[in-house]
Amino acid sequence: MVLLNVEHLSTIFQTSRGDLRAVNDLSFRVSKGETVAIVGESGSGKSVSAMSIMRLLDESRCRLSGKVELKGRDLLSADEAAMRAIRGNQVGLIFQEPMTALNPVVTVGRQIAEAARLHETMTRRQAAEKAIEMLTRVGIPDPRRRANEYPHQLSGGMRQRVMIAMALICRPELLIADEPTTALDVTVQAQILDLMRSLREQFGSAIILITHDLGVVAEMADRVIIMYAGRKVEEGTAEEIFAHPRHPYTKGLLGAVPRLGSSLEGKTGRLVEIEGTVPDPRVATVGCAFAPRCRGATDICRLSQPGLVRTASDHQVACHFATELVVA
Amino acid sequence: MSSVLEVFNLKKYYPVRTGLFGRSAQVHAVDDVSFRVEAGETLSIVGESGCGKSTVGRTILRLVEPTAGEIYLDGWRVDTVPIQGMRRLRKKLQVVYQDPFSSLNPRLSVRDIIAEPLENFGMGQSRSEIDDQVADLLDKVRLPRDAMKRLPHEFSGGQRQRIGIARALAPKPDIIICDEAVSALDVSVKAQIVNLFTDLQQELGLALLFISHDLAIVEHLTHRVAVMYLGQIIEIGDRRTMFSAPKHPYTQALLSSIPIADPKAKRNRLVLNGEVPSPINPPSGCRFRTRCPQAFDRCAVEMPKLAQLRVDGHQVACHLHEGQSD
Amino acid sequence: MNIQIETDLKLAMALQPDRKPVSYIRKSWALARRYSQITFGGTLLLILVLISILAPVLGTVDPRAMDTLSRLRPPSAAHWFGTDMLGRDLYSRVLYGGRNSLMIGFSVMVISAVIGTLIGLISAYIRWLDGVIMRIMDGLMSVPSILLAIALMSLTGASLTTVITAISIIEIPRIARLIRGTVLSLREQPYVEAAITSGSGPFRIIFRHLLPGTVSPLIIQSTYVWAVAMIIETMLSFIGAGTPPTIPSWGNIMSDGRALWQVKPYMVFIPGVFLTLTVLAINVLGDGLRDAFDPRIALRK
Repeated sequence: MVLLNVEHLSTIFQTSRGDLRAVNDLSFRVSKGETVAIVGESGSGKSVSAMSIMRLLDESRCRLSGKVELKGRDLLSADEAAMRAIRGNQVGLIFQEPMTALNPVVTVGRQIAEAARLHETMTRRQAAEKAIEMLTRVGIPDPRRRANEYPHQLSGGMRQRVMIAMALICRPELLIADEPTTALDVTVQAQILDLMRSLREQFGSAIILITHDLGVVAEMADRVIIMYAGRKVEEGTAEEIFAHPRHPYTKGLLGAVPRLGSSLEGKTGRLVEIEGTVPDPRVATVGCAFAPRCRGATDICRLSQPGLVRTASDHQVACHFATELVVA
Repeated sequence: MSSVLEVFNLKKYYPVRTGLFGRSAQVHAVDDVSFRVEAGETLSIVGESGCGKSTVGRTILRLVEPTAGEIYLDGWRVDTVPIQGMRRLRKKLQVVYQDPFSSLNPRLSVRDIIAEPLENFGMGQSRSEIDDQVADLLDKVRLPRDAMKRLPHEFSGGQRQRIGIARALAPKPDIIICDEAVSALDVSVKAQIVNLFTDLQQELGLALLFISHDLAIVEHLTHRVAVMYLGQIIEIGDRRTMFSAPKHPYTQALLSSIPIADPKAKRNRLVLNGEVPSPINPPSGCRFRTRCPQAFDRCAVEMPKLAQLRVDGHQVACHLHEGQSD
Repeated sequence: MNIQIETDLKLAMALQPDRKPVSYIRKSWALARRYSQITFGGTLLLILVLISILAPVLGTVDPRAMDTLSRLRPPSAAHWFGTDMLGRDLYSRVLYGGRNSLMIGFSVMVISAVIGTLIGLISAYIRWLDGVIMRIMDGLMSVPSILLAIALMSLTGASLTTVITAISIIEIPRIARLIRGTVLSLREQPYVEAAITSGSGPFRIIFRHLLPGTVSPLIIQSTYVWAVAMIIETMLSFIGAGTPPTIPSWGNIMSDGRALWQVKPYMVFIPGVFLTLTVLAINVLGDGLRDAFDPRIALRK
């Protein structure tokens, strides 16, 4: 069952120096209970696409076009009141920096309770109890005492758990997590990923996981979308993408990530480099946006934008040479 | 002595005041750290936030003054030299910083930024001599020569980091400290810079002190690794030993926590419970014991010391392994 | 790879429509509109300064020449702004007075900028002196400026130099605090640390890395000092404790007309208007400069 349907989403920022296409013709679907990872580097548009879906951008400065449907309901034409009823309720949100997302002068217990009371009618006491229950669920020891503490008294990992508690308290069917573990130490990241996996089982939520870390993607995602310069360049199941990447950018990305244990296999030669840099989003490109950096680029690539080609039942690639068996 | 850098019993304590009228306590940011770096090799110091690895780098550079300990650079004593004398020693010891955006003065041209150490150390008689050297350095870091006239904001993060590397290479140092030098870069750019570091090391015989929290990157370019926890080195050894058979429970947990970029790989994860304790009040005895799955009674009483294991150069600070030392 | 990128660019350029060259006049006009405050304030100030400098050639007579037969005349064709109680032509006095008022304000601005910067730098760089210096600055700032000015003037007696000195002493703490704060925050920037590890000594760090960052806040604050200095000078002269009466300044002219302002308001009104316009011009210019230098507001334009 399709939970979220995004079709031809585009986000254009109007700046004094021209229009900036942060997201360009993005389409994808998220089904009930599945985890979709959106992967990209800076300038790929991955965070902006999530913010666009949730209408969290300053729309006096940008134009959204396309279609975004949550269980059949159009989100792009919804007004702010309707969106507020959805955020935190049907869709939970987790951001990268819990310190800036949490109110520093309100105790964490109260913040979680408020999140519950916004969407369901209950007394203060009931909400407080629910908050403590969520704190236990996200693995915070001594939750009754912790509920009365302020964000700065908690460590980074605990703050992120609080954010997860706030996001899940209304049992949303969809969770959007934007770089949820990037600011955390690696041992804490392991704990949080573990937690997210167990909560995913308990609550059955679908997750859109936005990240640049391919290791996190491999651990958590069912399907993967790779974005480059605002466009989707590849999409497929996690297994398929890691085993048989087809887009040159995806291959480059996978080759650029060092694997633990590589020294033992004698594989510490040069990492795969993708030469060049991400293009300036203000400059409208002719042809494939990746062409300047692609070893296999030809004139066709430089003149015409490749469309998405389906190479397998669940594998799409935006490259003119997608169907070739061997690409240089 | 062929060691480029030797550090003995380095300590850095910060005084803190607990509460408005509370007693003043000490944060043991770096607590009795010793290591050496040989010419042409890379020693990495890894650890999570608060372990003190950045502070180690900053004390060696005398950006903060060490509380105790001895630091030798090519045999010269560094920690006690007066700060003006330090300026001459800086020719041998350079840094590449973490943030490519704020480590370059936005008002200076790339040429001026790279030329600064050359001018400071009197490495060029005339302006054109210095310009030639700057151009050579830009070649070495694979930037176009016309970058000289431009300003930092015209470049991407990875390119700025190359400018920072060129600046560090300018005085022909013996050792470069890389303080999280690739952490702020995108994945594909990280790969470029890591490759650059390995190439430069081979070409110039540089020693590198690579401070990082990213073990996978570290594995790719290091010769030896030191793991820090709450201000202490708890394990140190060569790359092969450390990544194939680490002995300290923290090192084992650290390695197993790293997500593997392969959905089909088997994972046996050692998830640590709890979080890093506060450095103001570290646990008694072994500082890792509150999270250690194998802690026993001696761990609360006595702090383990780094002891040599059978493999040459491999040292562990853990009561579990004391019986194995020679 | 480079050749390929060049080919790319040529292809892209070939496919774009031709762009008309934009004339310089249009560009300047667009710039003037974007930075409207700077344009307005700057132009007005420039006009006022030019009027003062060109006073001798703008149809004036000797501002000290007395014509006892034409005392207290209202504005007319012979005397554009009228005459004062000693028969002196007010138009000439206002123009020459403007010279002095503007010059006093300007001198105060320059002196307090230079000395304030020096004090602020020393305070920020030599930490053990910082406490002492800042307490002195605090002391100076805690006294209301006009009272402090009167006190200083009474110590030395009136002359142009003492007026400038007294007002400068009042304005120096403000600049010193600004520079000290700016330098302290700039010192924390990684590129300053990088300069240290590159072997740069204190002089190089101050002149190359720290001072350039202080230029824009200094310029903005200095424009305000110019305006404030002129107001203080006017206040001092109005009560007779400022510029000596033999030298025309707007404050002095207003002071002369003080007793008669209810029947002959133009004597106070006209120099007052000039002072107001000048202060307005300077403040608008200062606001415009501040907005232009602030990177966040500049992005939105």
